[in-house]
Amino acid sequence: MMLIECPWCGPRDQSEFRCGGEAHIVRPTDSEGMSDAEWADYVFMRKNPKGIHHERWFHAHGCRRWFNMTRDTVSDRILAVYKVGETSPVGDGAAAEAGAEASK
Amino acid sequence: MAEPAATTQTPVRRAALDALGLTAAAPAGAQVTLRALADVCRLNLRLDAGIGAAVAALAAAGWTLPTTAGGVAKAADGRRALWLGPDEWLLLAPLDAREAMLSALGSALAGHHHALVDLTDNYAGIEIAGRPAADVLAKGCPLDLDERAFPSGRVAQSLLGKADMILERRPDGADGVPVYQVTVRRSFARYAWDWLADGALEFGLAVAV
Ligand SMILES: [Zn+2]
Repeated sequence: MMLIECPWCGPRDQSEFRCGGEAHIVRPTDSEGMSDAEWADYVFMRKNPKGIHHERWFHAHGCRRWFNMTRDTVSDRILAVYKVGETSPVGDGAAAEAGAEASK
Repeated sequence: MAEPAATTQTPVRRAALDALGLTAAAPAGAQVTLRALADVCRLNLRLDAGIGAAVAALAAAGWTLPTTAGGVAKAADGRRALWLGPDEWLLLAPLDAREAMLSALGSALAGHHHALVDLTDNYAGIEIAGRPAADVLAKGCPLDLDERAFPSGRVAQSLLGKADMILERRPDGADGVPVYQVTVRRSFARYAWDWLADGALEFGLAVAV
């Protein structure tokens, strides 16, 4: 049994929740100008990191609200839970990754 | 083919568990009582609780919306507003108040962004009472049902076995026994009843009608 802290309901059992995959993927606004490869990247490509991951979760059998979670995919430890539209308070995996790309 | 005869009769209202043909039974030593509850008016309200004018109009119509998670606000005539989410409530009232409620709430909320949906026939209610009632529920519900976490006057949505459930802890019974109201989708009524009855067997099961 693993407890997940719903931002509205408080700690609830994992069985009440569903994971909605990687968070913070923004729908492109310039869809007409996008190449097939860019579309494919938006629709299909996900990070799947070993370590810190920002995810969308859904309290499916509770208040039925979506929220975000930062989770360590190695230890399964939940590092932060935050509402849709907010930024994760935990060390940003995305930013770190972007930094690594830029320094190559 | 003859036209069906016109009728002015209203359809017969059948409670979700009528088909079980339940009869009252109180075996000696039974510690858990199950009761199929008669239908009540159930309205689902979606509203941004930050719209002060709408909240004030509701208050004037006799409805206070609980804003803390799991809260239940009582109104006149046994009416209750159950917290389902940060912008969602279930309003309960006697069945014969349905039409009046729909129109009163409709006018109170007119001009405010909201959704008011009549779910009266969507749900079925079962009451489970008795000292081991929480132990029966805990067999298939992951909620923390301890007195400190889930006292009287609290509500939560969760699972009962495979069924979505709205669980409300009602005021304790006459001799201080805990009383819970289980609300499930109507099509899950029999599943929930059988599930609770099975879970209660080891404690002795009484049926109230
Ligand atoms: Zn929740």
